[in-house]
Amino acid sequence: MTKKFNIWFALSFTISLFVCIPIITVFSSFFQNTSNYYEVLKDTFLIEYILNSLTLLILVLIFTFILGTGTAYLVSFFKFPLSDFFKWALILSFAVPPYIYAYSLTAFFDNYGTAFTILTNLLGEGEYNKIIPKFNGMFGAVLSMTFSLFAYVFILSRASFLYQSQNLIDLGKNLGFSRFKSFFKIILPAARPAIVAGLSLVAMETLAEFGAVDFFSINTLTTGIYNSWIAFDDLAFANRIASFLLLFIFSLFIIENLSRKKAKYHFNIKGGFKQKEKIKLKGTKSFFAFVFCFFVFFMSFIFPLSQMLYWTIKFPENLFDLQIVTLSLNTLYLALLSSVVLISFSLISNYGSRVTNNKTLNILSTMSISGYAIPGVILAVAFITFIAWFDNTIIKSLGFLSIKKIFFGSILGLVLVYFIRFYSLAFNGIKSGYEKINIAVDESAYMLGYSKRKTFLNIHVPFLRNSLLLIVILISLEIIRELPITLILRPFNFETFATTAYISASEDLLEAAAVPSLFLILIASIFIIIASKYILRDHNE
Amino acid sequence: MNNFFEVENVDFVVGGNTKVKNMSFSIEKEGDIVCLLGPSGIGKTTILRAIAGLEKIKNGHIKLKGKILSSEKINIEPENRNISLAFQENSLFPHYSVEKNILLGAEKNPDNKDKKVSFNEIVDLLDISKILNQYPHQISAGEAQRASLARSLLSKPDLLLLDEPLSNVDQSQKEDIQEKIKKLLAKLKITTIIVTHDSYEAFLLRY
Repeated sequence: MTKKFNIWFALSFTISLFVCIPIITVFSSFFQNTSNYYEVLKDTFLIEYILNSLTLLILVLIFTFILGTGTAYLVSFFKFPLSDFFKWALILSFAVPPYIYAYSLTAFFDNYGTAFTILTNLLGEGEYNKIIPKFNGMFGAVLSMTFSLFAYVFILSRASFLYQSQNLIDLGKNLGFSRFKSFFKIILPAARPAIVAGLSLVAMETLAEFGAVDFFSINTLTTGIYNSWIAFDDLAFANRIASFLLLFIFSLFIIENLSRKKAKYHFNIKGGFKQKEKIKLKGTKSFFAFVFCFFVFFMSFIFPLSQMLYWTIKFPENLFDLQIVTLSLNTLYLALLSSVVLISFSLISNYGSRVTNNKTLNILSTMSISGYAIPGVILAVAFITFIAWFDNTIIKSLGFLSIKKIFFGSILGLVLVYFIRFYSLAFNGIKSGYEKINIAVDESAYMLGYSKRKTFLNIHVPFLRNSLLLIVILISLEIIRELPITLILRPFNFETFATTAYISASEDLLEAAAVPSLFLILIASIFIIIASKYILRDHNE
Repeated sequence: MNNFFEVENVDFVVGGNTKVKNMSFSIEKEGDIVCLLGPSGIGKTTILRAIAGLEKIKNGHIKLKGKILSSEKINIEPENRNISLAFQENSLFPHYSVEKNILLGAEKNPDNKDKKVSFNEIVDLLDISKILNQYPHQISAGEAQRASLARSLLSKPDLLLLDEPLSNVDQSQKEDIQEKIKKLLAKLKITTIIVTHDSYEAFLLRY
């Protein structure tokens, strides 16, 4: 009855197809000619790009695993000073994008930087530049990404640890396992899908990262894409590198998806779940647990925040030079406009998938949500490629005026690419809300005489209200931090905190980058604190 | 003479596969209660879902009050048939209280004066007054089933379909509720098809 071609199918199909455009564009680059840059790069830097990307990936994965699961384990299973505080404070690291972390790291440890000033004030003048470690290049990038991204692993591991029943822990005790052995034999394997899911997100973000690697002048595949477009004006080759990166990211994406599906089996919602009692740590164990969590919290949030705050106070003229109100309005305008557009269309496509249950649509939906796995640089370049092709081959051949101006350097183009990039956040968020609505609920609405539209508006939308609010917050958070898409596609003279910080930093004016970075961190922190209410909801809440 | 309800030579299908082949039965008078009795998996629920309009049929037709609801060519949308199906599983709207859920049933046919029944009467009959202010996730499966039944009864349909209506209800309450439902259905003259695998329930409820 409900499985038929209708308006819901048509709408869902169109939305999903639109989101797939960049993927199709990127892979079509194989059939296009490239400039000589390809020949030059193939023989010189291409291997370096690949090796750097892999090194970065492996090191960031190792460190985020240690920090993410370590802190999640401590706050989920034990009570120690400030353990409840760390539960949400550790996710504040999301407010600090890797590129801002990179600025902080350099600002603090660089020659005559903040560390030098502190030592001089404490110990008097000296040759401190020689003893202060330098975190440049690869190591700096690894640290920046680790402290900025570990929270993905923390959130998902913690959620998985929370869903582990006390029965499971008791089972370990019954078998005579030590706490150490229980962790490695029971707790960690049971949380494995969630940890893999978290690490996959970290991997995607690491491969997609542009700001931090660009700042530390590391040549990766992502910067390679940017350079081949900006420096050599070779869109086809930029897309060709992008397609290699995409293939790699897709394999990670599939792993992440499979893990997520498996992770569901651990959510024992009804029956057999016994709420865990946290173990109160005493003495040195309590001290070390506190120190570990505090170190991670300090390094991931307090350190970059205070560095940016310090420079803002030290160079107040930058604060007055900056148009704070305009930047705030621009940033929030983009975030809210994109959220509204994303949520509206994601609701329609989700509902369309639900009522039509069509296989083609399901496959297209799965493909379309992969936008999140595609680095912003690739999306922006793919979008420009597609519009240029569409304009040259279709619009002009029909005798119409060029449409490029409508999309390039306009809010419309920016929002459309944000839409593709963050569609999966909105789509998956709504989908997981929908999974809580039994299909019998829809059917009983029909039994009460509700049409599909009325069921959607009167039953689904009110039920999904909380999910929608959380999605708005998460999308806003992403857009506030987003750099490459905004940088490439923003209208002339339209700046956000992220682009202002980047432009100052790229001109070696780190002090000037501090003010927009500080505001970015503060606004993002507010969004995180609101979102934490939903993200960190405990099992019995 | 026209039957009140009729299923004639219908193949019932789920996902393209025929589940029940060439079935015919009819209900002669309005207010009659019919039971479909059979073991699990035989296709009883599929039949109810097709009558409600939630599944398509192959061959034959389904008629209510002389009007074709389903055939290979005609398929009236579920919301446009005055039929109510009380599901076996929890089908209450999760974001509304139990009371609001039940009252939504009353909004369906507010002008139907032939089948006059009050909210309080149904709430007392099904013994759910204590859970009215609760939300669906806060009540037991048996209570959810009774609330869902209350909503269906209040919607005063031409045809009521009950899918294992009391399968989750405690044995101690079951017989009492069965008796009361039977009396209420008789009073309201609501034509009902009940699906059950419990032969005792089938014989008790049939009219």
